Amino acid sequence: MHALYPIILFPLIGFLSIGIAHLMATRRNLRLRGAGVIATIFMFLSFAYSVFCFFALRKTESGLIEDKLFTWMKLGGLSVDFALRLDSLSIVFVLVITGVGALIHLYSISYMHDDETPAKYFAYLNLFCFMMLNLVLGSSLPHVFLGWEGVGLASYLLIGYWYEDPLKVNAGQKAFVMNRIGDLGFLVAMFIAFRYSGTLDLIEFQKTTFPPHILPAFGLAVFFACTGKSAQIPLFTWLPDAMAGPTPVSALIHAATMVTSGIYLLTRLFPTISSSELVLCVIALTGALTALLAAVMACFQSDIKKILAYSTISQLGFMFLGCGVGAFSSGVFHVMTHAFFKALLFLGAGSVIHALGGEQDVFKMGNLRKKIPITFLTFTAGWAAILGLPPFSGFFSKDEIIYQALASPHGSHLLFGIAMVSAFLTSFYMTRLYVLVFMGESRVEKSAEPRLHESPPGMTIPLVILAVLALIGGWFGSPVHLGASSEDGGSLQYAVMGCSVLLALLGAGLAYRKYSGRVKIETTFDPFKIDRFYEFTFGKGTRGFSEVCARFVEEMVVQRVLRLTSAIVDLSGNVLKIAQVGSVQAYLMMMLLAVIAILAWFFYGVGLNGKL
Amino acid sequence: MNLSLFAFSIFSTIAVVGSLLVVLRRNPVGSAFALVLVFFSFAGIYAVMGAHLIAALQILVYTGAIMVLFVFVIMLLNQDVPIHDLEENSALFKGVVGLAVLGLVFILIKTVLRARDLVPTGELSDEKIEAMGGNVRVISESLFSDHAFHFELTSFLILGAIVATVALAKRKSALGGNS
Amino acid sequence: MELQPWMVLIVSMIVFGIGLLGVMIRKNLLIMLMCIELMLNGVNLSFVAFSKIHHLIEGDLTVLFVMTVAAAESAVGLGLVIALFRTLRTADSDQIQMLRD
Repeated sequence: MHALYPIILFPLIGFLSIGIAHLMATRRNLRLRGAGVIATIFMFLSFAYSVFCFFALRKTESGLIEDKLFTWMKLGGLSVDFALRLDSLSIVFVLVITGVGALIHLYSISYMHDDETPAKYFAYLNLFCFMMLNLVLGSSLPHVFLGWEGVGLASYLLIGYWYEDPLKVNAGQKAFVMNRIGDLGFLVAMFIAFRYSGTLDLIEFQKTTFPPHILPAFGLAVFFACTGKSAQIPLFTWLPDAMAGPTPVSALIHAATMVTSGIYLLTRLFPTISSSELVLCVIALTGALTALLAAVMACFQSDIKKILAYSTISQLGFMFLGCGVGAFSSGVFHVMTHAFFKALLFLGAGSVIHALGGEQDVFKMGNLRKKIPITFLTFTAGWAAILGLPPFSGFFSKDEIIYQALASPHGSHLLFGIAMVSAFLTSFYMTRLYVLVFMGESRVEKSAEPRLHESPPGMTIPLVILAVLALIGGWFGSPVHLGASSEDGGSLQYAVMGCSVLLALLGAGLAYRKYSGRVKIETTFDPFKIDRFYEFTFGKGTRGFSEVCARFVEEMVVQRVLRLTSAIVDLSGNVLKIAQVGSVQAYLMMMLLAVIAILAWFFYGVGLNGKL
Repeated sequence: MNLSLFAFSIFSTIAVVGSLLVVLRRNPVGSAFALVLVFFSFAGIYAVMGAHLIAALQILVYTGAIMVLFVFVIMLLNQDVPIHDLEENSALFKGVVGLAVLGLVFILIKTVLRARDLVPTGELSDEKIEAMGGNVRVISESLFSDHAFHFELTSFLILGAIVATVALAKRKSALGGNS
Repeated sequence: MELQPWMVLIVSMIVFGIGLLGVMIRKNLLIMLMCIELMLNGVNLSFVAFSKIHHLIEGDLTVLFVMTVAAAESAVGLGLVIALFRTLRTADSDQIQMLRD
């Protein structure tokens, strides 16, 4: 069998070597500038090998390559292998992770060139890629869970990378905790899978039929885990906060890869998930509502990264909507195109922030298109892709989902309607962003003006590459790669396509009208106040409960029990002390009497054939 | 009344009388000598029964080693004077103890009398032992083959006893302070 | 009439009983230890008697081990008496009350 382990080995070696170098360097206060180059090289090696594996995969007849590394766990009835499995689903993810990941590594070298501890940063980035690759290549649920947790860890480490700022650290903690809440769902799903099938291998356990009342429980548990990792309702509030991390991190983790793990998991488990109508319904509805909610919230944000964050949540909602109506391949297709254009948008935003020396408020930008032309052009490609304008990639994937929301047997007019409204809003807020940053009058602060410059090639080259991908990425046509049947629904499909393009242009036009020219400065507005709601219910609730426990339960119950126990011990000790007279003969006397009693009981009580 | 029964009755009478003397004498040295008498008569009983090895070891170990040790210690601690501890106990106490022990022995003897009807479970009757080369050979062969492990364990036991005794009997200054 | 093993058993019980009596009645530590040896001997005798009854030699072997243990135990016991004597200047068991409440 073809070896797959180099794909995960390169980032692992990168993490370990750079990490150890970092630990040794901090002692002597060195700044390891080469770390970035090394990390990027490792990522490119991994990407190259992944491409090699792609061609190897095409040559196989089964469409599956497996590489078992070792037996991981053998506990009683459970046997889990540490094995990597590559099929048409995981190769898409692997190529995106290694490819886009490598580009972001390259970008980071320039973006983070002022940083004090580059080795730490790149070690964490490599760690993240290693974990993410394990997630998508794992052959069993625990292996996927390893990657699942690992990316959560890497995300925490990177969000709170500038750890001297407590706000950033809090953001990291919030992300990690919300992820963990979702992981409860993953664990429950693993328990159910093992209980009813005896194995946790991804292919094997899906062959068993689950009892009809268990199946929805499994699916909902899995989806709950996905809402945590992929920022859907109700566990999405961490993603906007996660923008506290460096921008390349936001691009890689919170746009292109980690947040798409939920889609991967659902698609991987699609035989089991799609056999329950209820689960599909919940997924589709949650996805659609999240898409809508996030799109609305994005219209009121003024921080460039937060707008993109809400946009990510919204687009993820689209992907889940696709999965929920049964079009899993469309969901994955959108994952791929979204990775291209969202990473592009984030890196472009990073370029803008870099040019302005750290400014992130869109209302302090404007008319930057002449000053940073390459960023402007590439950003335009991203903007066109997310709007869904042909021939950019976003058009193909987003339209596929919207069409399926209407036409699929699990779809409905309601879902279609929500999707369309969300698409309209997407166009509106993205154009708002685009216009406020690059067009109209310049609202840039005077102090920042002299330093306005285009970013170095280290940053612009990835932007250009991603822009090209955002343009042509959709032409590969997902159905061919994912093995689903490509249907041409004929006239309905063209009608939907036409409608969505029109809506996009309408949204864009409205935004252009409102935000070019003289613009009223807006501040960030939170229309739904969900964060505050969570803080009120869960935060205050837990604290209040703890108060009650500490005051009431602790004193009344726990202390009393403890005192009672010690009193019992005391009392019994005092009673038993009476027998300790100190005289050896007295003890012997007691022993003798006891022996006589036992013997007498034996002979008279048990009865040795009569005579005594 | 054959020879063995006659010898046995002599030996056992001496044993019982001797043991009473051990308990009732006031001078510890007297008790020690009475105990030696008891051991010798026990050896005689063992010999009469055919347990020759045990008889020999009884003399070697008990009288030759243990009693020597006892007399040593009595002399060392200057206990070779009459002790009047027997009178110090209350008569009630002595009466109760006496009755209790009597009762115990009574039960035991009653049980023993059942041993009159016991059927042998093993194969080594006296003739067979003679044929195999005698009591000493049989015991030795069994000890060093089937029970070799237990034999080795006793060496550990003895080692422990040696260490313990040395540690106990050493002068405090050699141990360095509080014991 | 021949020597029967049960007669030996009776003698062994009597000796054992006398030893037990001695241990409980006397207070001098050394004499108590001697009475313990008496008890052990009584038991040894019964072991030998039983091995005669059942035509085995395991009884004799047990006696061997009991003797070993008795030797070790009397050595340690006497060591204890000596150590105690150093502190208390007496070998009276009634005087050993330092741990008493």
